[in-house]
Amino acid sequence: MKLGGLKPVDDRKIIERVLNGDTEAFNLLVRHWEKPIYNFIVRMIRDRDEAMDLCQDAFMKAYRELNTLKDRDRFSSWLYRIAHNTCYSKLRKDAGKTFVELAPETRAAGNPVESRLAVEKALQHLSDDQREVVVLKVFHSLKFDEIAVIQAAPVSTVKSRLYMGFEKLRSILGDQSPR
Amino acid sequence: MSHLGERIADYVFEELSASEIAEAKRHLAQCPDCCAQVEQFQRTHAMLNVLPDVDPPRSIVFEFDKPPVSRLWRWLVPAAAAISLFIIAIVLAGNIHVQWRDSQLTIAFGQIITPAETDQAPLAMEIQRLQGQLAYLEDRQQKIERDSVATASTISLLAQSRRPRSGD
Repeated sequence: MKLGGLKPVDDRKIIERVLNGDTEAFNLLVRHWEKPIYNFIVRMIRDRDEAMDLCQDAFMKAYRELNTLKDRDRFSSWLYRIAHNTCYSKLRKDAGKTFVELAPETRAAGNPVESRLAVEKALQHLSDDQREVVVLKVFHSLKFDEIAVIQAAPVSTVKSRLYMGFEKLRSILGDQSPR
Repeated sequence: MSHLGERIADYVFEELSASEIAEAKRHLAQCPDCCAQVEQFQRTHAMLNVLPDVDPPRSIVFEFDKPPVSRLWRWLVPAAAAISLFIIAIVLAGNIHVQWRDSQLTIAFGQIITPAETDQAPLAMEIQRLQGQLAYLEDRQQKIERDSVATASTISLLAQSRRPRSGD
């Protein structure tokens, strides 16, 4: 659905160029993956400025560790895994902080802007793991086995998190769908 | 077919094989509970889809340093030149002498020339010249002496040839 980036065969060719010394080619990978990775991080931590910094950190780490990538056809999963680790480091740091809801209304409204805001807020009510599964499945179209690798958890656990996340979102947003 | 259960997510997100999808559809046609669960799942999925992707506030561009080889090359050339000069200096070190005298800097390669030797250089040249001249004169004298002996011998022979014979 909302899958960014190149086809795996294109990623593989660019990765080989980078590892063969054409370091500038890494910017091709960045250009194609920065939007999906940025959106993943934003939906996880909900701070756009911080998300930009974390996105850059994720790509820096990806460049430094590119030679450790075992399966070059699974670059996207590997990159998401790095972004996951970057997000969770930030989430662990903020674990003790309290965020004040300025607009507690989270029911999905008819206005598209309000609906988007309601969905954004509702996602923040999920646990980090549940939110991550929902974001990766709904917005990034990753497969369950890919998400399982990113979360270092069994597929059954991933599916369970998705079901629980969806149930909580239904209770927050109400059982409404766009008409 | 049994109820879909956890395979509802696989069905909604199309992660079932073609045969599994066909089997699931046959079951859904006959099972209102599973059908309701699938529809609920699909509605929640649709609710979330109102959230669009956003563009990052800035682009990420990495600037890379020049390849290490050229940096090494830029370091190697001056280093090699410095090492060469050092080696040359070591080789010549035994025969390089630096002297500062009378506001003059003298760098001498080879034998040390002392100030005394430097002052006596013209005298030494004169002595050498005179010695050369003396050698020449001695050589001439020897030649003259040889000539004198030869002349005396000739005179003696002539004198003997002119002496009258006793029987005349």
